[in-house]
Amino acid sequence: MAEFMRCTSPMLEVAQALLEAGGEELKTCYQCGTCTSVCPWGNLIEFSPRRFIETARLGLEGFEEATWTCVQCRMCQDRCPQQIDIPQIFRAVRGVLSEGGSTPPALRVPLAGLRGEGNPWVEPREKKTAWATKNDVPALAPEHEVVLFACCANEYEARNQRDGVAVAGLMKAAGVSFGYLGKEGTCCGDLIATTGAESLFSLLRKTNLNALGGVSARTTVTISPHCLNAFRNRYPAVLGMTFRHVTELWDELLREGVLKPSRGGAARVTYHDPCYLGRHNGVYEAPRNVLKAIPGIELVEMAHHHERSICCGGGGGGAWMERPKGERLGDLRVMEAVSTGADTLVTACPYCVQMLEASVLGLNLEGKIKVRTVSELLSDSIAQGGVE
Amino acid sequence: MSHEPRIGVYVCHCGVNIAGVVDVKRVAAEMASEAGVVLSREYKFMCSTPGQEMIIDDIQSHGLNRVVVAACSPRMHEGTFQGACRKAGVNAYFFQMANIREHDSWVTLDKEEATRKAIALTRAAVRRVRNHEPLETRQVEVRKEVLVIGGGIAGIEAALTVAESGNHVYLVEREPTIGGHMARFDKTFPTLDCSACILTPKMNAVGSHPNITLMTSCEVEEVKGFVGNFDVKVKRKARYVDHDKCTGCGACVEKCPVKVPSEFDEGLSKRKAIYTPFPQAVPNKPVIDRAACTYFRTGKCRLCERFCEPKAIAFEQQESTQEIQVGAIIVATGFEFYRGEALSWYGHGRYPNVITALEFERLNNASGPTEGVLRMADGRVPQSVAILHCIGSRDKNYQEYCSRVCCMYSLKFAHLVKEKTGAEVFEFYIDMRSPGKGYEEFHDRIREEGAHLIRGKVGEVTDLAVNPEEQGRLIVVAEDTLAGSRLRVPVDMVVLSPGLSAHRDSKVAQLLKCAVDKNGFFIEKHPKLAPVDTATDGVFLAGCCQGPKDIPDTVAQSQAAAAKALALATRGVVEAEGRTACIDPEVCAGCKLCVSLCPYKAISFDTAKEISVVNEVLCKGCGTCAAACPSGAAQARHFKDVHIFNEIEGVLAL
Ligand SMILES: Cc1cc2nc3c(=O)[nH]c(=O)nc-3n(C[C@H](O)[C@H](O)[C@H](O)COP(=O)(O)OP(=O)(O)OC[C@H]3O[C@@H](n4cnc5c(N)ncnc54)[C@H](O)[C@@H]3O)c2cc1C
Ligand code: SF4
Ligand code: SF4
Repeated sequence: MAEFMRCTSPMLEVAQALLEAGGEELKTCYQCGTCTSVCPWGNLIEFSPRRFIETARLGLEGFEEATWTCVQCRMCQDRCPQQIDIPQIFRAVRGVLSEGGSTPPALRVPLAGLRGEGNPWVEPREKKTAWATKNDVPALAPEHEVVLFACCANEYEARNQRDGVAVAGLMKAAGVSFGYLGKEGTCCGDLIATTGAESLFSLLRKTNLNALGGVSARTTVTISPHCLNAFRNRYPAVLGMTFRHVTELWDELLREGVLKPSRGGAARVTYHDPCYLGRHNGVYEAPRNVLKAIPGIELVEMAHHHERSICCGGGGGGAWMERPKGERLGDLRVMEAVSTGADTLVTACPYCVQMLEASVLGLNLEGKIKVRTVSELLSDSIAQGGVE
Repeated sequence: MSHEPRIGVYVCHCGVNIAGVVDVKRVAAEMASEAGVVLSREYKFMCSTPGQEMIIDDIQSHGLNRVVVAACSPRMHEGTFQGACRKAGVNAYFFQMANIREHDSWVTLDKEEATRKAIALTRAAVRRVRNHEPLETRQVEVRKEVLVIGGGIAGIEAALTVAESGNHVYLVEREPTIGGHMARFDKTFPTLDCSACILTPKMNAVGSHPNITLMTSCEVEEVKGFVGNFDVKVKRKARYVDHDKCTGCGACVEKCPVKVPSEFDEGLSKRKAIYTPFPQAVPNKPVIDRAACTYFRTGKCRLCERFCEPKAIAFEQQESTQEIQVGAIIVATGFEFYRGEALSWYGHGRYPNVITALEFERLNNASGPTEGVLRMADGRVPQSVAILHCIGSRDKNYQEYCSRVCCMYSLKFAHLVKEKTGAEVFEFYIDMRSPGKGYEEFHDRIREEGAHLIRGKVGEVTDLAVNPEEQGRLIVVAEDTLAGSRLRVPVDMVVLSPGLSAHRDSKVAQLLKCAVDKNGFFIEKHPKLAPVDTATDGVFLAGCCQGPKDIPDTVAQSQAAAAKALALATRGVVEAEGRTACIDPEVCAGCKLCVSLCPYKAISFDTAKEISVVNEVLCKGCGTCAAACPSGAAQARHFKDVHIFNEIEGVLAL
């Protein structure tokens, strides 16, 4: 008999586990589908956050599959009529699945690297500050007013080191009293937190809290929007410190006339809002103000910008996962940028740089468009203008 | 007899409402030991006839002269128990109620805590009632006239109902014409009858009814007095046309050289600087829009004046005020159509063929800008139309509530589009709400007519084409949540269906001392049992000012509000508060502070005795004077210091 009675029953124990892991808001979803329609994945693959929520809420089969796709870009959350923190639900489910041992293989390297060496590439910890030594970036000292907090990518990865060097150079040019937080600190943990690795994240957070706890400077400037987000939104406010993104600092220094860009070289640029700078932290205008202040630069907007910007694909652990051609959000973004006629795609996040450059390469568009950061362009214009 | 308090205490179970949480036996037992308490009982339903009879019997057999009931809110049953006391010969003001339901059992989970709170509240009532004094109520005559504020279908219906009874109505409308939103529709759901055909006769009836004084371009400025006796100041904006002389011939309108966007047509057509909003306007006489008029802007023109035969143009006209006296007020100020930020996600203002529901209503209206032909911005007739539900509605970012009428009016649009153009219709909804007589059948009919009803809220409308078919069209992106697919639907026109908002300014509510809810709608006295009353006696609600609703519900509520106002007028008298203020002539220092503070102008100064005196007919017992009086001469009866202190001690006593 039983064979003829195929049916699906709610698995409320599973659902309960997800609720308890931080998926509380699952309960208020009324299944309108707004999230699915605004999610950037919809342009490439079949992916329904709504169905993910519905299946997770009843513990039905199917939600596991969708769990690792979300890039945490927050587009859905900002539009959800029930104001549900949808990315948080994905994180909660990821946490539960990880505890059950079903972490995607692609995450094993970054998890091991962060646990052992404090960076997602399993690079030796001792090499963390080599870039700084080589480029005369001052180490943090008690008299400094500003802490420079670099992203692991600025430290270990050649392409993003250039951005780090540009940042340090600009700070020097502007006479900012700053020092780089070196080996005492570690990865901010923002990206790994979005994969649900809560305990590892807590470990990293503890190290950084210890390192920053003893510092007399009251401001920390981050190069990556992820570090900014971790400090602003995932760390307790105990440090009593102000956290700023470099583009916010540049914007201020330009307004005060401390930095005076003189030449930028003609460029038609378009700006890609990193999700964690824009939607997650509301910083949209500072980077644009900087670009507009550089002589010779013409800023054009892509079809999706500001609140509607499309993710590069790197968020939520996406930077560590391989995706087949045709399923890369970064490709969408680069194509959008190219269609504006811009020769430079500017952004302000090391992971965006990685993802977008990979897409430029993959799409064979190297001759057509370059990926630069706001700091790099500003640095070009200052250096050429003759500030020592 | 009333000198030695003999108090009876009654603790009500209210079924399980109270007794399920509060240990009522313990409350009654605790009260028995309070000074002056002769007996203390608990009973299942105090408000029932046996409950009331118990009080009456006890008063008679035990010689009670004070009664305390610990039960629900005095708003529910104070009158009931006061009546019982009165029946047994005890002054109503020797009764005191403790609210252990709304204030306690309904809002407390812990049984012990709830019981302790019930004891504290009941003890406060017992201690307070000891020092009560008998007060007398007076009867005050009720004026028969009724004021209706707002001349949409709600105000029109209420005014006509009252006027038909033979009582006089003042209908105050701030626009130059009555009609409200309904005047702008072509067809109305679910019957699809022509809006003008059913509304115009009513508008005309209002305009010509001997019992209705129609006051358009007017707003209420001040309201004084109380139930049965309101004094109202109405401000009339300058119309710059003398409507007594104007014959409504329209020569002026024809000659006026200025054209500005018509508000009535949602800016889709132009009107003149001197204009009547629409052909069936009531009154059908023009007004001058000062901001648009060339003469007012530059000092030259006056063309209209030259062509007006009866010499009705009155550039010198000033704003004026009129005072009216009424016994009851009906608020019928309606709603504002939602025009907020949510529209921008769907390209309104960016793409010319994304229109709002009200724009659709005008485009579709036989007397609208296109004479009822549904056209796109470039004049073409659309081949496909998307209708988007819940724009800014059921949305915590904008308006959390459901506006109740939008599903239905959107279905109406689907029918009209199909009927007029044969276009494909894609209607995107979250949940289809069609509860109402004939509404589900209407919903069914629209499906039968072939509209594609898709369950999913639209995320965006874009013109970014990804294939040739999308080129040059509007693409609607949504998830079909039933099929589980994300859809891109290319269409020619998009209609946005937002909800109904409350008026942003709450001036009318403030003038009438009525409360509005968190969304700005007027709060009725009781959501089920007093849906058209307000907390202000003599002020009633009709239509969408109380919450979004359709025309049938609006009309029903208007007739109910009219009936309430008429009941008041027919009764002819109201009981005036016994809880007035008094000023002790021995103590009053004659500082006159209270005279200037009293909001009801109930205190005058006796120049011979050099003291302030309360006129008890006008006093509403608000207590402002008592709180302000520096010498303690002004006291509010029933709220004297001794009452308040006894009450506090009762709450605090362990
Ligand atoms: C697009 C759309 C389509 C609709 N279609 C239908 C339909 O087909 N069938 C149906 O049953 N319902 C429909 N409705 C609902 C219908 O509009 C309402 O039920 C009805 O208009 C409510 O009438 P009302 O008099 O309460 O409010 P309103 O029509 O808003 O009238 C209020 C009046 O009060 C005036 N006023 C406001 N404030 C003041 C003030 N301070 N002083 C003086 N006067 C003031 C206003 O100028 C206005 O004249 C639709 C609604 C919309 C938005
Ligand atoms: S956060 Fe971004 S990727 Fe994740 S479900 Fe929401 S819209 Fe899609
Ligand atoms: S209590 Fe005093 S202030 Fe209030 S109405 Fe009476 S006299 Fe006026």
